[in-house]
Amino acid sequence: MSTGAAPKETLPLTAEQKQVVGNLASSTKAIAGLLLLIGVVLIASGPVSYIYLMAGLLQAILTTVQGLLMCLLALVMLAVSSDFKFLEQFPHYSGNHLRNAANNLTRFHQVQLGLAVLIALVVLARWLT
Amino acid sequence: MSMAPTTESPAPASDLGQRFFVFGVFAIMVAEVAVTVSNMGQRFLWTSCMLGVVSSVGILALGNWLYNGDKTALLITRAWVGLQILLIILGLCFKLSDAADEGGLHSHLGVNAMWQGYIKLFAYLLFAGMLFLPGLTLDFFATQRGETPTPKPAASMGVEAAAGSPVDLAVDQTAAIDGLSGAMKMVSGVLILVGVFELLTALQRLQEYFSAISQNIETSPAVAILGIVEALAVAALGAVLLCPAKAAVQLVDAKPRNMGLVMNFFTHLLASYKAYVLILLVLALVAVCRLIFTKGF
Repeated sequence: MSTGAAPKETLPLTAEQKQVVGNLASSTKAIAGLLLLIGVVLIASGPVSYIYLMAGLLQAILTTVQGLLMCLLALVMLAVSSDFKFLEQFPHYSGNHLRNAANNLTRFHQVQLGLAVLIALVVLARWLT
Repeated sequence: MSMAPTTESPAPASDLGQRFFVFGVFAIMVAEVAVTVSNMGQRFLWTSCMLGVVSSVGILALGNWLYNGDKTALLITRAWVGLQILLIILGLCFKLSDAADEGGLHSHLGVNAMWQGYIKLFAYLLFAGMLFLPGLTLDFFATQRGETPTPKPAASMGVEAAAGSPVDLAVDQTAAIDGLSGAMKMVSGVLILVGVFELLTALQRLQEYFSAISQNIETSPAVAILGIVEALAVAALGAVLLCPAKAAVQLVDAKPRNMGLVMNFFTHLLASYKAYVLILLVLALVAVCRLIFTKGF
């Protein structure tokens, strides 16, 4: 029984080009790991600085929210890493994986925009205290 | 400023390079004049006045000489600009450490207020960027010398792109890449702005620290130093996104598209994300140091 022809490759990647895509998958995974690490440090440092180091409540809350956003960014970046891995491993659906990667990266940068605004607020609060 | 005559009308790119060059020269001259005049009104010193006059006239003379694209003029102008940047940084450092001292070295260097140092530093760094980094201004000098300008990365990318296999992207795929490029540009601009804002606040903290030190008040520079490092890292997070955003636009706008353009986008993205790994490591260190040295804030 015929299973039908495989779809035409949108991105005809050579072995060398697949290597670049593989490196992208690894880099994005490393970024996700680091974001998670910073996120956990910030989430922990919020309550710790409030309870043990006598920091202000606003400072503690802002730091914790910053950590949560970092963790969210890490999760989105993990999805991007998977997209690039699929792009490398399944070239017949490369167009779809490219679209998914671009959409997830767009979400990542949108969340990053929120984080940038939060950092500006933290800097402002730091400046005013 | 009298400009040397040219026999041919310059190409559009070199015309833009000429405009940048003239803008750079006049930006320095305006900054020098503004600082010198303000110093004459507030704290007149012969040394700072002479330095201001020599710097204003000197940049005009060098600009006029360099307009022909002369290589010796380029070398001397680079050295001049480097020396000026060094003097301004020296002035700013002395101003920070001797905030209360009105007759210190910073006054002789013409930096009686922080804004004077910043405005001069900005103008000189802008011009240094034109003189040292390959781009339109250096291409303009090459054209003036009668040489063929060095090919730009974009042009070499075009050659590479033309060599790739054709790529047929669907509408939703190009829309996704287009959206990504827009998001990258937006977040890049915002991160750079936030970085600059944080840097300014951190520099103010540093100034407060030096003032406290000069009054024998015991204090720590940790908040200011961590702020400066974090500010530079945040601005760098934004700056490294500019190249992939541009490559994404080139990919979306190209007709017909090919693998060269796709790989150009991927390569720029990879370079940016490798830089992200380093920058995030720095930010992780800053987060830990903040917890240890500054109560987590």
